[in-house]
Amino acid sequence: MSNKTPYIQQYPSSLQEGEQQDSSPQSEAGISPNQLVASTVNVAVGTALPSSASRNLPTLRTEASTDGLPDATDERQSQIAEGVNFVGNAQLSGVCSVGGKVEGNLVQSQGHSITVIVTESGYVKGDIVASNISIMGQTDGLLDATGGSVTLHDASRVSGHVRYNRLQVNGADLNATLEKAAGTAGTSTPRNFGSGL
Amino acid sequence: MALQDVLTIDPVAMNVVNRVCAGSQLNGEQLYKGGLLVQGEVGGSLDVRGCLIVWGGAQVSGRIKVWGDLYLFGQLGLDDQQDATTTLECMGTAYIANTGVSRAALFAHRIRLYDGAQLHGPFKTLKGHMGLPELHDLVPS
Repeated sequence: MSNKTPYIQQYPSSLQEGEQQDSSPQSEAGISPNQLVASTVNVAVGTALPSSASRNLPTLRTEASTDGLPDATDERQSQIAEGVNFVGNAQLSGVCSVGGKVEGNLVQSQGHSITVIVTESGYVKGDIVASNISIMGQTDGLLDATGGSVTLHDASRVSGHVRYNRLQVNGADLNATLEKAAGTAGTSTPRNFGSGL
Repeated sequence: MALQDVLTIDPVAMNVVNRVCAGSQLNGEQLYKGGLLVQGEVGGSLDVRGCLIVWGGAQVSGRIKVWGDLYLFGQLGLDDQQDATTTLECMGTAYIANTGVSRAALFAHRIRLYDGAQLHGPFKTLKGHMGLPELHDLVPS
C-alpha cells in the first residue's frame, strides 16, 4: 500500500464498494453535514496509475514479452529503439514502442486499433493517432486517442493537444489543451499530417 | 485486484475551516484563510489559503487561486463545453477524481487524474519560478 500524500490511500476496489455507498460525494444522504465537519470521511476517487517508482512500467526490450507489452515476436509490433532517429510519417497496424526520437506522425491504419507506447527515452515531435496511447517520455504535438485512452505517467512531458475518451495522468509535466472525444481515433485529420515537418 | 485510491478528508488535519454547503450560492470577491469545502455553488474571485475540496454536485467558477491542493469531485467552470472565463491556479497538486469535471483553464504544480475524470480546455504544469507570489499576495502563515 502506497501513500502519495497523507490523505490519499489505496484500497482494493472490492473493499471500497460497500464504503463508497456511504461516503461518495454523490451520495449526500449518507453523510450528515456535521459529520463532514467534525470527523474524517473516506471518499473514493477512482483508480490511479501506478507510480513509476515501482518500476513495473513497460520498457522497450527486444527479448520476449513482459507484462503490459505484447509478444515481441508479434509481426505487427513496431519498435523504434533508443538511439534511432526517425524522420517521416508512419502508418501502423500494430503496437508501436518508441524509445528513440521521431519527427513525424504515427498514425494507425484504417480498420486497425493500435497502441503506441513512448518509453522513458522516447521523444515524438509530431502527431500520434492511435486507440491507446501511453506516454512515459516526451511528446510535442497532437495525441489523438478519440474513443480510446491516453495514459500519462509521472515522468512524461507532453505539450500540444490531447484528444481522449479516457484519460489518466500521474504527475506528468503537461502543457496542452485537453479535449474529450468519443468516436474512433483518426477520424479527424491530425495537424501537419502529410505536410512535412 | 484493482486498487482504488481513497481520499480521507480530515477537516482538522487539512485545516478545512470553511464550508459552503449544498444549496448555497456565493458570488463575488472572496478570501478564505484556510481550506474550503464547497458543496454548493461558488463564483467570482476566490483566494483560498489552503486546500480546496469541490464536492460531487458542487460547482466552482471564476478566477480562483488555491495555495494548497485541489480535490475535484464536482465541476470546475460553468456548464458550457469550455468555460473561457474560469481559471484556477493551484500551487499544490490537483487531484481530479473519477467524478470530477473541469471546463476551465487549469494551472497546477502537479496533477493526478483518476480514471473517468474529465478535463476540457488548457492545462499547464506550473514550474517553480511561476509559483512566486505576486506583489499583492501574502504567503500564508
